[in-house]
Amino acid sequence: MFLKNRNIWLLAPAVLLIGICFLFPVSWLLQRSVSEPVWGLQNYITIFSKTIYLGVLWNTVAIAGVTTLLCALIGFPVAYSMAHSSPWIRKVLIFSVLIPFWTSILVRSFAWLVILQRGGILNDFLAGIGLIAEPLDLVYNRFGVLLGMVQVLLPFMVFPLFSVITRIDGSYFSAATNLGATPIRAFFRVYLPLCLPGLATGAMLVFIISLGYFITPALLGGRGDIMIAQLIFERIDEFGDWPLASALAIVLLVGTGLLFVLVNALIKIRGRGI
Amino acid sequence: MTDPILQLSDIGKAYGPVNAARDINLDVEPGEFVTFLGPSGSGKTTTLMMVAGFTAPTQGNIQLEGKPLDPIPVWKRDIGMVFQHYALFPHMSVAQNVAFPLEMRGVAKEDRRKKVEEAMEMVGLAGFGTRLPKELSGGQQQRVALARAMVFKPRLLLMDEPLGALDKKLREHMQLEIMHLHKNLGATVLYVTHDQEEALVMSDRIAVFNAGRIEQIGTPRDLYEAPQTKFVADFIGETNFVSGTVEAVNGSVAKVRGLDGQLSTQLAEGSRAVLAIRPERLHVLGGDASGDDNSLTGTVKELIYLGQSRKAIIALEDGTEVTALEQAAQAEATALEMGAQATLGFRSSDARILADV
Ligand SMILES: Nc1ncnc2c1ncn2[C@@H]1O[C@H](COP(=O)(O)OP(=O)(O)OP(=O)(O)O)[C@@H](O)[C@H]1O
Ligand SMILES: [Mg+2]
Repeated sequence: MFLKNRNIWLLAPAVLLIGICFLFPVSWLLQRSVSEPVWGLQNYITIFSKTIYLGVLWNTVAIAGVTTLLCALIGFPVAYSMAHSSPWIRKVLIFSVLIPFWTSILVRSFAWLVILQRGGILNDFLAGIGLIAEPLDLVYNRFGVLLGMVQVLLPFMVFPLFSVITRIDGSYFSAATNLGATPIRAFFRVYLPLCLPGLATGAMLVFIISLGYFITPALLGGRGDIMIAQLIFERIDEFGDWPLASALAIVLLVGTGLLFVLVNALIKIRGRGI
Repeated sequence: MTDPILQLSDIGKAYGPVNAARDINLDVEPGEFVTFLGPSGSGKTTTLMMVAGFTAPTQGNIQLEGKPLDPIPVWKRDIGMVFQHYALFPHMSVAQNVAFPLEMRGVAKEDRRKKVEEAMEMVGLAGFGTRLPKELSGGQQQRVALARAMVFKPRLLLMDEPLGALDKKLREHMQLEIMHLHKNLGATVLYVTHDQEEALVMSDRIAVFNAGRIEQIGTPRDLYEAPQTKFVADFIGETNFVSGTVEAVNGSVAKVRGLDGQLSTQLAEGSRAVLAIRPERLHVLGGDASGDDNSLTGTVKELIYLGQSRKAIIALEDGTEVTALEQAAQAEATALEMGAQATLGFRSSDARILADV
């Protein structure tokens, strides 16, 4: 829908906001990343040639990818139950999915620390009932990062899925079984493809938000789980290395943008069928 | 007489205290076209869903080709179904939709392609295979749904108000097409509708549903000419009812308010009853009334000119309004005037005496 031309000034606040808070700093970053110490692509070459930087890029993509996958696997049954339960149970489910949103991310991450660390509640409990002799390493590693991130990002998967699933007519599934499909085949051949738009939207949200994640990996991860946002922070905070940090920020931005375009195009192609 | 292909014996479905369907008994012959007709909420869909296997009966049992259907899950029943809104899979092309049941049965690719083509041709949609369902009109989608439900040669074909979403003209066209397909393929069909005209046109037999039970099963002619209950007489076609009590029972004839009629079921003298007579069986006296042995008098309330016929609404002395429908030629011979007295005649053999409930 287009605004009538004479109403275009309504967009002014948004344009101003994006201009000042986004375009300006980003162009500033872009300029620093290619102009210091001398003009050229040396900062980008560093990022894509040094193993530590490549390692962090890989970590970032891998953690975001696994988080997305876990969110999809956990989120699908939640969204499905939400769509197919009585109004009362639906409210309870929506409430429980939303609770994490109401507490600060710092509080949540520290709470995980209290629960998961070597002398934490969970290890004490497991040792207490004699299930383990040595405390388990549940935090300061990939497991801790993923646990924390999945918990925070689950709603971004659940809600787009929920909105698509509620609109899928039950007769598609019935028709599939009537035509000879076992429930499992009916699910994979008919039901799941109809959920794809919701799944794609949810996955894109979770993945893109994960890419820039900072606090959770910083608090719950180990040295091997550093993600790109932490690296940017570290370059600036410890080394005052603005040019390289800027280049990293641009890489994150461009990568996210590319992904967004790609997924959108994919949804369009598939969307023909939905 | 051949063995019935489908037997419903005393089946019923209760949702808590609500009986969605009960005491349903029906034998369907191979190749027969049987329609479930009834008002909204009368249990038609529920009964169809029990046959398809989507809901389990809480009473009675169903046999298909002599074997109990109960232990067989939906996907192994080999029963084709056309859903009210077609339920064509929106993410698959028309050809993929039609191929779906074959694919599920592991039919080889080449064979599949051939059968899909045949089915598409059968419903007059050859060449539409690559389209998506949403790129077809309502009538075309309807045909795809038919092709998909028939392509695997199901033992039984179920249709739940398949024409409900189409406009009148297309409906009438599709009625004929479905009838032709039925004749050509010799398929056994259970068809649901709440449109009595559709039921009369298409069916070999009609089961009239009311409040979860079957009121009467019979050929369209049986139901129209010899309704067994007031509900059936009222639901199928237009009927005049004169209510009173049963008098002078004599074998299969009796009187209500001094008017003779045929008893469809045993009724005791003195019980409440109605005399049912179709509008086209009422004649305005003065015209050709030969053979009429009953008469009614009243005041002309309304005269409606319908081109090829005339409808006269006459109020009897007690206020009961009856309608007489006469062909144009007949109507001309018996000029009526609004507000004037008129006498109507009918044959006792055309009137039915039914219990008034
Ligand atoms: N899942 C259910 N739970 C409770 N009651 C139900 C359920 N399904 C149907 N009913 C009830 O059973 C009765 C029969 O329903 P059914 O759908 O068979 O009617 P129908 O004859 O197909 O009507 P329509 O012409 O409106 O489709 C209705 O009163 C309905 O409310
Ligand atoms: Mg129904």
